[in-house]
Amino acid sequence: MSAPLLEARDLSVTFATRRGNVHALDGVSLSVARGETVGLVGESGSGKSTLAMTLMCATRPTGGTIHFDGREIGHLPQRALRAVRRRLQIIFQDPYASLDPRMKVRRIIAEPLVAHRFGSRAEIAARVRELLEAVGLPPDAADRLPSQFSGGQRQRIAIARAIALSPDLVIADEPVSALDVSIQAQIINLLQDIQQRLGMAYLVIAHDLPLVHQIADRIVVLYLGRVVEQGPAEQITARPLHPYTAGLLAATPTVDGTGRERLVLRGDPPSPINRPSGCPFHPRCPAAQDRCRTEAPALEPQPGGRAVACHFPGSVAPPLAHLLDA
Amino acid sequence: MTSMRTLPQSSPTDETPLVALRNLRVGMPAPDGGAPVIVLDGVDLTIAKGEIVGLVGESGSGKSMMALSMIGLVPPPVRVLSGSIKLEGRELIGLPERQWRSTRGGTVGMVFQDPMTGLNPVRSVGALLTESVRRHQRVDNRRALEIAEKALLAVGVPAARERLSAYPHQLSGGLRQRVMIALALVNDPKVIIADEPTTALDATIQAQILDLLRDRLHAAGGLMITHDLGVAADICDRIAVIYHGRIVEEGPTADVLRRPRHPYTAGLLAAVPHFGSRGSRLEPIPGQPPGPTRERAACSFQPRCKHARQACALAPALVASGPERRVACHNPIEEAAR
Amino acid sequence: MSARPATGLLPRLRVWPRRAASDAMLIAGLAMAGLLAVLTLLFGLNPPESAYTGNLMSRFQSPSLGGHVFGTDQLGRSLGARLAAGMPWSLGIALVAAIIALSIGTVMGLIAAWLPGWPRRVIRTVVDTVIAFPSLVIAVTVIALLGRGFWPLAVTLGLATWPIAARVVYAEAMSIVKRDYVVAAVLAGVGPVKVLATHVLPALRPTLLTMFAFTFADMLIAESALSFLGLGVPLSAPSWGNMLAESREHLVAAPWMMLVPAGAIVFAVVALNLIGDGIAASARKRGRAIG
Repeated sequence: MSAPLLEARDLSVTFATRRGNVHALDGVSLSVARGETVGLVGESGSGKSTLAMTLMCATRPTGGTIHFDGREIGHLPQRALRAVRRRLQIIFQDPYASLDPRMKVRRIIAEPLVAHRFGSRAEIAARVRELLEAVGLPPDAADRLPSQFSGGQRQRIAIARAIALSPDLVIADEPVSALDVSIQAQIINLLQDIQQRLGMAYLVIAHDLPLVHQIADRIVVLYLGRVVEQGPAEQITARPLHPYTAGLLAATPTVDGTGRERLVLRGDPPSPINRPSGCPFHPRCPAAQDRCRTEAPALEPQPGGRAVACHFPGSVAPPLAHLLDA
Repeated sequence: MTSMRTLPQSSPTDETPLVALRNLRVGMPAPDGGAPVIVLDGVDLTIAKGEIVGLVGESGSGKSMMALSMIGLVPPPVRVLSGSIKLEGRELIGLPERQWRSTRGGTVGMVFQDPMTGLNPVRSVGALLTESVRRHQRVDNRRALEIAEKALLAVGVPAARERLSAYPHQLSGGLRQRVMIALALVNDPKVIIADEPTTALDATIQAQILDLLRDRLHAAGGLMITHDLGVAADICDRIAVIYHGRIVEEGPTADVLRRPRHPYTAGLLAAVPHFGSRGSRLEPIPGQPPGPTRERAACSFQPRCKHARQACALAPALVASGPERRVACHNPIEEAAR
Repeated sequence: MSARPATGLLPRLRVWPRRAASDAMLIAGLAMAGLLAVLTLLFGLNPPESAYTGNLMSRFQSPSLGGHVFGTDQLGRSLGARLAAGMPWSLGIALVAAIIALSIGTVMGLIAAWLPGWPRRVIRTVVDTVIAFPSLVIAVTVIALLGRGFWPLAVTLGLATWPIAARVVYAEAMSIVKRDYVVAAVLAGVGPVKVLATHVLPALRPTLLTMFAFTFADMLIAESALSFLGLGVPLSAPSWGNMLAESREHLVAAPWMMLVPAGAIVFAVVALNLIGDGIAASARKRGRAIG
């Protein structure tokens, strides 16, 4: 297999605040292959949005490297970044905030095209029409303001802007969580259709495990700025190795009548300011032992292309075998 | 096909239900004297003692307005146009504001989505709780503090005594929501209304809060308002699905989710990703949920419905459809294989 | 799928009564300011002779509809004509000063909001220093160096005021540059100057318009105050502040000499404040509607 499209190695981001240093990311490594969909799962405080901003080079890492298509981009000067940004785009969570309310849709979608000198005015206009069609909006949408659209339609506009330059990687930060339930599936399907047509890779960041399971080839689980588990999607959900993944799975309400598993994680996620000693998960872990309180486990490879950062992997896996036949 | 009959106006059982909404219409009268803009269009719903009823709907469906009308806080110019809300047989519509105040936080407890805005940030947890206790019970401050501490313990707040002097912003999101639940429960309400109580919380915290709500709401009676079918499935005995201000389907939770009869319910179930749906394409409901309208002759779901037929130009009534089930559809799904 | 307005009827109908009130304020303010502008163009730039040439036979005439509507001064000059002749001075200086203050303030505020490192520190230090400095001292110094006149005064007032504008722009721009749509533009590869011009500046527009109206009014008062103290425009020019200064000696005998220019200043300041409040109110409402 060729080199991955995006490879982050040992990424750290530390913010200095009045109350102390916040280790938003603490040695995160992850990779995205060409055309692949990676799902990044984590709760608030896990650092998933910081990771998105760092991979987009909007936040500079305090440690570690980011390679995009073989080139280190984590420390490039702003000017050199512009060429990278042509191939690396983002979709935000809130389509009400991510579109300038004073700009017509035509200008919003054309913005990256103009910035990267896509072509003549006529070529850009034609491209905008093409993009509107690709995301399922009528051509006359170009002459309206974002306020004239519903949330789902605005997210379509944001998607059109993100794919305007046919990027190699699109980072989608909670792309459907601000939308109505009946609209979410429309956007998920649209993202999948576009990927099939254009072949770009996705990094989908979400708190919703079933959603990530639906669209991702691989899942990366983030807890308190660290990757605690990663691997192929169906294996992660069927046989979680990290107790946190197991707890997250058990906490997900299902509609199939089986009800939630009776494994409820105690307490709250600790703040990234006061990180627990040893394994960051040990205060909430049902299987924590003395070793977990002192020694932080490294992310160790496991069979089947998986990796887990736990001294006792698989010790809290809930029996979710019924998911395997899916 | 089961024989369809309209339910009689009175409650199906002889005993008075804990809460009974009858033909509740809420809307905004037009300034020009024309037809009002309708938010809730003739809602019928009952909650029995010890029962948790889930009200499931999307934004704009009117579900939150229903909660507000049950506590007399419909924001003007929206108002209750007609209908009745009875709590243990006592009519709430038309109560003077004084009596509403003794109802809110007293006989009716409320839990809102965002614990940060639901709790006054400049009052300590103890002050918030004792204030509510002393408004509704004739006790002195020391006794009120004892009651407050007991309420915090009952919702699983660790170190309850110390937390009494904490302010809402000093607590984590999960603890704040526990405090809000304690506030809702502190006066032993007869019914608790929870409006999206876990939407702002992380999954593992949501699970904790749902377990807590399941226990506590069963002690009285509860209305759980949510957009999340999974959350409703988790703790509700019965669910009512609301679309565009009308209840379109109602019945025992597991039964409705396994055999949805209304195309909207079925559509929602097919549109939500679940662990079994990987590899297959989701089936979205086409189009958008409608906004508030005056004209309501037709079935509101008709423009998005695969099963629509000519009869749908006239809105169907919510009628019995099998044991304990009601559906408002001219062409309900007979036996969905889910 | 067809696009359809996302906002329902509810929010729009609810803001209706208050909208009318703020619109009325804006319309009244614009009408008053429009009147001043028309009068300036008609009479101010080409004032009647009686503004400068006195008639000793008609000194200290009180205002009357039959003779001089606004009365006459100690030299028998028509106060109405002098008021008109003073318009280009008073209103012109205030206008130019406000434009200078807002232009420098906007550029500095935007730079400080955009560049977090030393540019922000330097600009904030300069702003704090200038604001802490007594503006009267600046005015006296500059006028001592440049002499009295239209441009020295306008430039002095502008230079003494821009830090206040910079502070307002900085605070507002700081919240705007964090918005998703601004981040999205940067991540799309749009250059910083273009992002500021196409996203941040338009979002600042209501703030700038409001601030312009208020600064204009402040500058008008400041010009009058400096002229009154003898630090303003040349004594020969009938600026409204100079008219006030001249009225001092005749306050008891001819109070209208003070009331007429003071009334003009109040009229202009009220007009500008109505405009400022009106813009601010309608921007708040639009902000709510846009979300």
